[in-house]
Amino acid sequence: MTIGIPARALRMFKRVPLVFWVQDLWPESLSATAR
Amino acid sequence: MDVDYYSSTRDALALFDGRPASTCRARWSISTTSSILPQLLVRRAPRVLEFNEARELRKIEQHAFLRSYRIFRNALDRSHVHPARARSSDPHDARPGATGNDSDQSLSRVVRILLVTHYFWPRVSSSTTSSPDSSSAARGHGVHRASQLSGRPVFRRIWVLRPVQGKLQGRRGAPRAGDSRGSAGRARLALNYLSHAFCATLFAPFLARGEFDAIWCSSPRR
Repeated sequence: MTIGIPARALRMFKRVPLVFWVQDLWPESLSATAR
Repeated sequence: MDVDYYSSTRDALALFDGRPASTCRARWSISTTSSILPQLLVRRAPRVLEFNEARELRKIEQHAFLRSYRIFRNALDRSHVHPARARSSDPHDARPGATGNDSDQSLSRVVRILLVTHYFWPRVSSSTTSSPDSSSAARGHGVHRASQLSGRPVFRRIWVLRPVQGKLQGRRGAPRAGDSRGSAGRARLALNYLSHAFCATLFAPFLARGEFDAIWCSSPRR
């Protein structure tokens, strides 16, 4: 997810469309670490 | 980022048609924690030579800051990257000027894509082919040309040579081959990601020069 930050910066510089393909969303990790 | 960079990058590049090695034209990588926090992350030394001999696809290098800086400038790592063109679904699209028609040339316009991932592109001449589903993303455009901005894998920066390595053998937690992540805990892993975001935001406009038509940011499953 944090890779989106430099990608946003690059989009601002390059002024081209940005495709952000997020696959690493894990809602389970919240419940897993809360135990 | 020493996550499973090989498969992730391959999956990210598989969206473009053709072999990943033929799609990726040039890349820039950012050394993050190995340059900022050099000593904090050094705990154990992997047996690098054994690791390198055992694996064909992954090689561990020592990342001193000056060395990686030189890699940035001279692009020594780019020797495996071929300026090839991705295959299109129609073989006539991938060859501009083969027939000389205007319609063919409009189909074969080069789409320049900047690929931004965490993951390191390994020095492979990969023989993996993309699945037929992934080629649909490349349809409609003649030629893709991808450049990658990725993170360098952070391995332990100092590996221990012969005398000290003998001592490490008997210890508990002695480094094993393939144990490249080291003893970094979750907080350090988070710090690793954050420092990558920080450094990449700082340096990416300078590294990834040139004109691009689109930015493809991929944050794949590990």
